[in-house]
Amino acid sequence: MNTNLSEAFEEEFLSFFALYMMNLVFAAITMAIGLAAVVQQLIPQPGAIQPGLVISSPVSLVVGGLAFVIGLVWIAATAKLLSSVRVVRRAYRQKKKRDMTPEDFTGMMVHMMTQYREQKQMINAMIIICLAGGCVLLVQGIVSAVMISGRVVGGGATFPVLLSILAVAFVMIMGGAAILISRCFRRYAKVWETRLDAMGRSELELKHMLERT
Amino acid sequence: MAERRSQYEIYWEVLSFCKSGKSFTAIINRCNLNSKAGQEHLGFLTGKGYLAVTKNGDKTIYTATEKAVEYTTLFSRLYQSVFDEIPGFRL
Repeated sequence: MNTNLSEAFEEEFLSFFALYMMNLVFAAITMAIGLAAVVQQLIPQPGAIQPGLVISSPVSLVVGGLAFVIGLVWIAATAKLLSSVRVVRRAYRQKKKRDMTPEDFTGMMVHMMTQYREQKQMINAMIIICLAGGCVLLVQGIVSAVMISGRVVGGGATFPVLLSILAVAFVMIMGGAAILISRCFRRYAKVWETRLDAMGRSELELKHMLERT
Repeated sequence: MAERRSQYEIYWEVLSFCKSGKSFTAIINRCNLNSKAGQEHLGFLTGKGYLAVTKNGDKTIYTATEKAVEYTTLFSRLYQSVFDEIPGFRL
C-alpha cells in the first residue's frame, strides 16, 4: 500500500508541477504577445510611410494591452501557487529520504488538503485567468488574421505574409493551449473538491468517535 | 494557516506529535496553533481522555493515551481511503 501511495504521490506532484510550470510559460508568452502587439501599434515600423504615431489597428492595440495585463496577473498568481506547491514537494522529499510510515503519508495528505483549501480561491481565479488569456489570444489571432487577409487581397509580398500567417498560427495555438490549461485546472479543482467532500463525510465518523467518549 | 485545517486534522496532528510526552509550547509551535486555540484543543483532548497530563517540575507534559491511538488509526484509515478511492489529478 505504501509503495502504491508513494507512486500516486509522485505522479500527482509531477502533474501539479508540470501544470504550474506550463501555466507560467503560457502566462509569459501571453504577456510577450500582448506587449509585441502594443509595441507594433505604438512604435513606427521601419518603412512606414507616415512619420509619428499611427495606430493601424486600435482593436489590436486594445487586445494586445489586455493580453499584456492578463499575462502579468497570470504570472503573479502562478508564482504564488508554485511556491506553495514547492513547499509541499520539499516536505515530501525530506520524508522520502527515509522509509515513510503510514503516519508520514497521512501527514502529507493533511498537508495537501490544507494547501488546497488555502489555494482554492486562487485556483478558481486561475481557471478564469487562463480562459481569459486564451480567449484574448484567440481574438488577437483573429484580428491579425483579418489584417493579413486584407494584405493578401491587396497583393502584399509573399514572404512577410507567410511569416505573419505563421505568427497568427502560433498565437492561435497558444490561445487554444491556454484554454486547455484552464480545463486542467478545472479538473484539478474537481479532484480536490471530491476529496474534500469525501473527507467531510468521513469526518462524521470521527465526530461520532469523539462524541462517544 | 491553522484555520485552513479542520479540527479533526488539528487533533490528529496534536495526538501524533504527543506519542511521547510534549510540553504546551512544543505542541503549539509544532502544530502551528496560537496559545488560545492550543489551550482549547488540548483542553478538549484532555477532557475526552485522549491526552494524559503529567507534571514535570514547572512544566505540564501532554502524552497521547491508548484512546488516542484509536483516533489516529481511524483518521489515517479514512484519509488513506479517500486518497485510494478518488483518483488523483493526472495531466
